Amino acid sequence: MDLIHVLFLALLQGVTELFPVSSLGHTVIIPGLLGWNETLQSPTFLPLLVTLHLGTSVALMTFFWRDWVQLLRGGMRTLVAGRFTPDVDPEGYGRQLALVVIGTIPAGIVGLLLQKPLEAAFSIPILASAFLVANGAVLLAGERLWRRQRLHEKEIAAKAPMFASVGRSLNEMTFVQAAIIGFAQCFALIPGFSRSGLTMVTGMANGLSHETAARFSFLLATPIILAAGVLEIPKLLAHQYRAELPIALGGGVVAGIAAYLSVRFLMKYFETNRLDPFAYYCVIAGTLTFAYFLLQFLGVIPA
Amino acid sequence: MKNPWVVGGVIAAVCIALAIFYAIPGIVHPLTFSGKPTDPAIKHVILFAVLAVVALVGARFAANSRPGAR
Repeated sequence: MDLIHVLFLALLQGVTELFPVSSLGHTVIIPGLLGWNETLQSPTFLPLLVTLHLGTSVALMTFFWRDWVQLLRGGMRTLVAGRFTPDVDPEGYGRQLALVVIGTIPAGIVGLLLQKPLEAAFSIPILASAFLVANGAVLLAGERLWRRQRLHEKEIAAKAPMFASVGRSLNEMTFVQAAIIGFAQCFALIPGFSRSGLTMVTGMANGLSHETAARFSFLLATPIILAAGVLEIPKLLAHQYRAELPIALGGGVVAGIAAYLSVRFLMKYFETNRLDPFAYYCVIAGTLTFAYFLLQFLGVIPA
Repeated sequence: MKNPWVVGGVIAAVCIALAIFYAIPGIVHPLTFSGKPTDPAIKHVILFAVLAVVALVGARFAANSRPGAR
């Protein structure tokens, strides 16, 4: 594998995995634009893909390590007691862990059973471009819906303060809502749709703030991305990949650093900002690349 | 609502049956995409075993949250 390709793909994975712009879509579209499809289809690409996922998940765990310690402690307490009552789970961490588990199940099942056929069917650059536009439309629609809901709540609060919903936190989310967010995550198996984007929009549609929706989205991402990496470790250690291992590990470190900086930026960003810029990026980038691939397909520009 | 232990137990039993099915070599395993379809599918075994545990844990919480459970 070419070192420049590896570093570029590592940066691309580390950044786009967490930004709501579809990492899978970018790994289909950009190599298509640059003519790197051979790199992606090469058998030696597998160890790199594994280390990129591991690097990203380690970055997420490092950033949210306090959250995970609290969630696991709360989870152990509630597991022993067998209930989520305030006497055993006063801060609601055990319940939050249950929300993460429930939200992970749909993507875990669909990902394992259907990931490869879905990727094979949709990993075509022109399709990924079209889905990237659709992802942008979903982000915009989610943002508009969220703003309309908040406006409606403000009107209610002005008329009847006792009905105003204050500070939608994870503790107010129901298990059914967590399952719905988990189902939304399944659509991210289609290149072009963003996992973090879909889970954030679904979380916001269920009343979460941008920051809380982003936090839940990143907590949901950790077990899925980690499992995707860990379950492939035996392949990584296979004899035929030994020569590629050092460069793949280097790629994993680069992806991890990029992912850590990305999640740090995004958590700060979503304290005050919205999804709109990412939506506009997806619509513009998707439209331009769709036009490019269409012209290429029609033979107007050389392949 | 049905007894959570019955519902959780049925789901767990189905998941355990599927985990065993995917662990048996020599039979064709549907929805496996790496290696031969007759090889044991370890990832599927892990997934269904975890789901069985989650179903039982869920049943315990649901049973405890029923009125008059404590």
